[in-house]
Amino acid sequence: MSAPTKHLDLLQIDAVRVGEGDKADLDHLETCNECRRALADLQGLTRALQESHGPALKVPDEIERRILWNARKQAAIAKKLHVSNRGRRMLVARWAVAAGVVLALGTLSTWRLLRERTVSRRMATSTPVAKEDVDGDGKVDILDAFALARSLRVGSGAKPTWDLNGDGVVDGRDVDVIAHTAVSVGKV
Amino acid sequence: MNRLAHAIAPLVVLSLMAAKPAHAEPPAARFRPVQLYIDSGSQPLAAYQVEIVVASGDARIVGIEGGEPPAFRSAPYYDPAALKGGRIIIAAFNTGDQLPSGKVRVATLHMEESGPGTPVYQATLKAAATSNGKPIDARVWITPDGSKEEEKK
Repeated sequence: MSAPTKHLDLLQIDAVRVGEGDKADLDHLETCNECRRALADLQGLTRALQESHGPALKVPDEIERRILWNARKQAAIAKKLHVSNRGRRMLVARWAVAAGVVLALGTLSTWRLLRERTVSRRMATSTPVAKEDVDGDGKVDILDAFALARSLRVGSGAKPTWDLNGDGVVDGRDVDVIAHTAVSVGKV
Repeated sequence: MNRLAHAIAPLVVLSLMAAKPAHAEPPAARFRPVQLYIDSGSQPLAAYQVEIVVASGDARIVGIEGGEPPAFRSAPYYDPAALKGGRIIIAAFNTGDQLPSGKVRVATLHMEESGPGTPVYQATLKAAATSNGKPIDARVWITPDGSKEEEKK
């Protein structure tokens, strides 16, 4: 199992130094060389300071505890605030992403709805759609013959419904049928 | 009085005979080619459909032939029932790669004109497409041979 990556902060290490560390902090120290080194450094610094200056003023234990308690409290508040701000930013970002997704989906579905309506309206106004209307634009003109001729030329799968002369094959004669329908003066 | 009437009567008959035309000649029919042009701009012209009508005057369509570029040299599709009439729809397409662009003479119509005055012809583009089948904006016009528009070219 790998060592925990979150190290103790200075106050937690100092709490351990003065014998007030949490069990979790102590457990962490057992597995983390870096934090142990930091604790050793802090203990060394404390000793050095005591040796060079001596205890100039004896702070009562109760006051020291209060000072430490307040310091930890402030640190905890600061940490909470930091987490809280980060959480708020994350929340705003999540809402922005969600709003974007909803907007995109709404736009897409509206576009599809409008498109379906347009197509169905076009189908309704251009009834009946003739078999010769190869390109499906609601009218029979030379572009339908051209579309079928192009399709035959590239061999891109002619539909059986394009067998307009009913001879069982879709070929140039069906193209001619469409073209002749397109130029018929009988058509409006 | 009677003598005067007898003298005038032959003169009256002669003058009436002179005033009446001996034989009413109908105006002679004349044949005129009419050129159909399409300008597809920078896009290659692969397909077109045009409606041509005799807007005014006495004329009828008697023949159709293809145009200038190889892609449209063959006679276009048309309804034979439209011949001898004043309205026709012609159309053609080409799936090849050698397609013309810009101003193209796509067909020639042969008209039989009669009556006084010069008939007026009108061409309307019904469809045009480029090589991929996509419809394109194009301009169509018709120019009878010998017209002022023809002389300008």
